[in-house]
Amino acid sequence: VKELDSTLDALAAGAPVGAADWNDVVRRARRPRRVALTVTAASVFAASILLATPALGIAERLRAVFDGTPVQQRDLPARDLHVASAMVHGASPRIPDTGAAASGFGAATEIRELASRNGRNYFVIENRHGARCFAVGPVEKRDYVFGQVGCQRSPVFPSPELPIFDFSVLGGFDAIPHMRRLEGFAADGVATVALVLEDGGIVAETRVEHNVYSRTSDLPDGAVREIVALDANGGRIYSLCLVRGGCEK
Amino acid sequence: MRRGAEPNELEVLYRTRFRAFLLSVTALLGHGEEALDVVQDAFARALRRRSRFRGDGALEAWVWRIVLNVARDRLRSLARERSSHRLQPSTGASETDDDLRDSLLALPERQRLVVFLRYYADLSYDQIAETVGVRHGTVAASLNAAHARLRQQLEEEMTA
Repeated sequence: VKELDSTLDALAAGAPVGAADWNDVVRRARRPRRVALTVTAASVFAASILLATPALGIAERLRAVFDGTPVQQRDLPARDLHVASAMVHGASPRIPDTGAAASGFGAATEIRELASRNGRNYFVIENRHGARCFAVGPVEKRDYVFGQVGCQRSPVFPSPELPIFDFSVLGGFDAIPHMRRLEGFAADGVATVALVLEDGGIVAETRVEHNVYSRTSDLPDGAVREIVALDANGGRIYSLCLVRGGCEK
Repeated sequence: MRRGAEPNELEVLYRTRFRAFLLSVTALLGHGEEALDVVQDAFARALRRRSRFRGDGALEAWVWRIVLNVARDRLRSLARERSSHRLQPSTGASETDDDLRDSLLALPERQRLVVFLRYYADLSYDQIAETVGVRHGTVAASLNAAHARLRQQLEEEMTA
């Protein structure tokens, strides 16, 4: 029983118990009626639209090579390393840790920190065959480094078909969500990432630096229709539609 | 029969039971920030739909059902839509604790939910039954089955 108790305590250890905010509940309730939709923006690939691209050279730039500062594996918690290395090798992160170690996944994995912004660190995880996963985690010291790991293989990121890999946090209860945090990874050819409102207005234009975009302030209160990737001339090269049922009218 | 809930009733419930809701959802999702978002959204939904509360059961059970529905939606979205894995915050637990955690997470959904509601929210069997929508006896059976399964797992690991 004691072990069960400690395990249950550990399962909920990451709960921000001091974050109760009734005013936030009231604000959310005042928004227009919504249907539950709380997915990360990357989840709506099916509805996304590739608008343009293969202008000279840009297709190659949208594939990009990610630099960054190497992360020493010994500095990572064993579980983080296990999950990241298993995922980048296409294995289940739920296999026992010994499985990853025995298969040599960890030794064949390279992890680099791309950027640190708005309280979060952004990482690229690569294996020797060039497969990549991406991770985001808190800057503040906790007993884990990766809060979220994602791998996008079809279409692969980065590519002209998918120049951004979005990790944004959306919320709301409508067919059209609102944005809580705009963040993700972008190929070299993407200069900025922005949001498109229901009326077509473009807001929260966010510069891509070190292949990362991140914004936590000045986000619109209202519904967001699309996340768009723009090139250096402001041209729209990719659109990620967030509307259930698609953005075409 | 009474119809509807007052906003201040929901606020009192939120202020007194926030921790229980948050811990339960964190255990379900494996991610504290997502869990916070779920609890906030669920209470907002309850506030908007308070007129639908029929009063034929406890207000808290009604809100629990909303919270769990929002949490399930979130889980499904994350699982279905992307190949990602949200990490359980590691707490430096022992190998046995890790095994036990994996066993807990591998329990059938209803058993796991019953364990969480009992442990984190300290709900009675009757309250759990009302929340999950099962009979009192089913709650007891689910808890017994979960404990038995975990005990067996632990024994096997200790003798291995």
